[in-house]
Amino acid sequence: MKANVKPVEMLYEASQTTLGLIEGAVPKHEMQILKSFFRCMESNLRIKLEQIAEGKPIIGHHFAFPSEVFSCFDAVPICVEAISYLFSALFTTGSEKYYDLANSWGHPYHSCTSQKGMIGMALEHNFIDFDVIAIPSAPCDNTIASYQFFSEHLNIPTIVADMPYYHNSRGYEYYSNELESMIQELSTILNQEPNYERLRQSIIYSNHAVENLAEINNLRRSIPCPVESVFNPIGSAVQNFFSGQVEKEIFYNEVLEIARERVRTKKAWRETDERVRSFWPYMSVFFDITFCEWLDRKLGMPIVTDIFNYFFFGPIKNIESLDTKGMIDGLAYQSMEYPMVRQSESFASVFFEDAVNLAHQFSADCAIFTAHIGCKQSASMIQLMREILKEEVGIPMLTIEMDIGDKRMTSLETIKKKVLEFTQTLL
Amino acid sequence: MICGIDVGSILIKAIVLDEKNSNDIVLQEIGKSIGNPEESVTTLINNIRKKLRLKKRDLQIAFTGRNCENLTMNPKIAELNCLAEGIHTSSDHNRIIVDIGGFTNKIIKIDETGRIMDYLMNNICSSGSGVFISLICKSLGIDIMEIDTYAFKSEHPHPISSQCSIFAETEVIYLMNEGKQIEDIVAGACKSITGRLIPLILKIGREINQVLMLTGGLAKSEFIKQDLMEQLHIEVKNPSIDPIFTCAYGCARSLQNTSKEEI
Ligand code: SF4
Repeated sequence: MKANVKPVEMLYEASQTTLGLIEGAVPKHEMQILKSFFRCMESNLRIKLEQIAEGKPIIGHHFAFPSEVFSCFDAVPICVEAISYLFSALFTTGSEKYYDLANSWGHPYHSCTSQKGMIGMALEHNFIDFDVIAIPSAPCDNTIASYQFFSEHLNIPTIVADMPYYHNSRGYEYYSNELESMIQELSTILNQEPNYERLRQSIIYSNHAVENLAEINNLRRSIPCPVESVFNPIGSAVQNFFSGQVEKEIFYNEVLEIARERVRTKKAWRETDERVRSFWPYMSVFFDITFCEWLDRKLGMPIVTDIFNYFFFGPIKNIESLDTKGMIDGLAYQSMEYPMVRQSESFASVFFEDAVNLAHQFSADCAIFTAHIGCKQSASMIQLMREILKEEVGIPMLTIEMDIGDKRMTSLETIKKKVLEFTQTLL
Repeated sequence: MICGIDVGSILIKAIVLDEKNSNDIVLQEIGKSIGNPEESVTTLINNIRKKLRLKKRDLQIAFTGRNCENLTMNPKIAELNCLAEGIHTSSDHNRIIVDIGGFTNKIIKIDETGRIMDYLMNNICSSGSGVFISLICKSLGIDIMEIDTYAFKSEHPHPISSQCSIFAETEVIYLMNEGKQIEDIVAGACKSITGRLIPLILKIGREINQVLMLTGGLAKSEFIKQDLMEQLHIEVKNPSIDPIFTCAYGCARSLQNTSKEEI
């Protein structure tokens, strides 16, 4: 029987349509990054759907899981959170229907929407037939609590890699062992032997992506910033949806070329001058990516970086010659230092240090924090973050309570109003 | 003449200043903002012109307020800047402003030159703002202007526990059915307002040792003012102008200070 993958099919169709529209209607030199994203998205989803049609098993995973490890198997990895937020970005009513279904089933309204979209899809029988789900025990209680729905209510085999609190050599070693046993468990469930040469290839793709992102971020430090703000929400999708896959390398390569060209020729890519450089210590808005265009074109306020688009780790070294343990050690380290995990999982001083460093390095004029009641890890830090950024970097921070995936909590108009007010008063 | 119009969420406030002597308030006008603000603003402007017998070119106008962005009329000045200017130019005690508006509460910290150093607003819910108390007054069948009369009579203020304006209204109905005294409900509602304001005030200035300047519709409530003073142990004052017109006054003063092109 054919596996149910309706949400993936819907996203594929939406990507095709959007790509057709922007390639047809937008002049060649405009919105290049968005076009590149949709090209990669379309190709990635097409390949995934073909593989699923061939009968390959589907592995659902959390965004903070090093999905490169799945390449050991002949399987299709799908990031649960990315599906939910891609729905928010690509469909007019986003994931709202699914959030409501999850809420009315009894999932608390005040939990994070990361997994809620997929919970709602399952309740509507518009789900993905995952053969197995793999998650870390991080970055938050919300993650663990929400995934219980998939394991307990839907009875999907769910493997949890226990991530330790302390991010030190003992912690990395412990997590590496957890990943190793997870591979063994996956091997049993999928009835396949792990193929570590495929893992190596997947890490090679990721290494290139990590190197390219580092260079993109170097270029984004230039004034004016050579990369559109929309890179932030779509970059988050790329991180999580294309992880360990060739599309991630392709996308960053293309963005890098665009950024290099803009810095080299000093050619303006938007009609508005850069007036204010904004740094988003948390995430930008997902439910309407036109917001980023508004920031760039109307306000001249690029998002120079956000939590999801900066890696505090480099590529896994000597990948060509590393043994299996070395590869898994590298992935364990990277995933414990992964965006959001690094800042949320351990004590918050890391979060503050990262924010201060990034604000300095990217010459930010201000910070904008999108806080959601469901994310205690970050929302409980807003006042400290405000004070620290003020004291140590000398920049003001605006907090906007919102749900990045649900426009009904705070509408785009209200968000724009708050940002505008902020620029008119403190900047 | 110079006119500042503050198009708020519920009310439109206009103030007219003498061009030569900006301390001279020539006229204060108020209208409702609900429905079509463009129309209401036009009516208000016509009234002002009529009352002062002014020709169009004799009245320079600037607009501000939460509801002004959809007006086709210009120039517009940011609301928080107007509040800051309004307090800075009308008062000596001017470092922390607490504005209780129709739907939004704003806490603004300014420096000695009137420049905004920091600000905070309530997020998402209008609970604790003007509309909150007006909904409660409506359920109790009393006029909003009477809140002090009732609140000061209260011996056991009944806390209104709800975080949401609409639920608070329902809660009030339950309390009345339970036989609670109106004065205790009103005092409790006022205390919920101060309860929502205090964390915001403390966020802006941990060690507040300055005078708080209270503006906006509810600033006239002595009960709210006293409660803030008791809880924060600092002096709370109203500006020398009518607190509800502070923003409009600041708008007019800003217009006076800035040439039209610069706004
Ligand atoms: S850390 Fe926050 S945003 Fe991320 S999954 Fe957990 S609750 Fe959601």
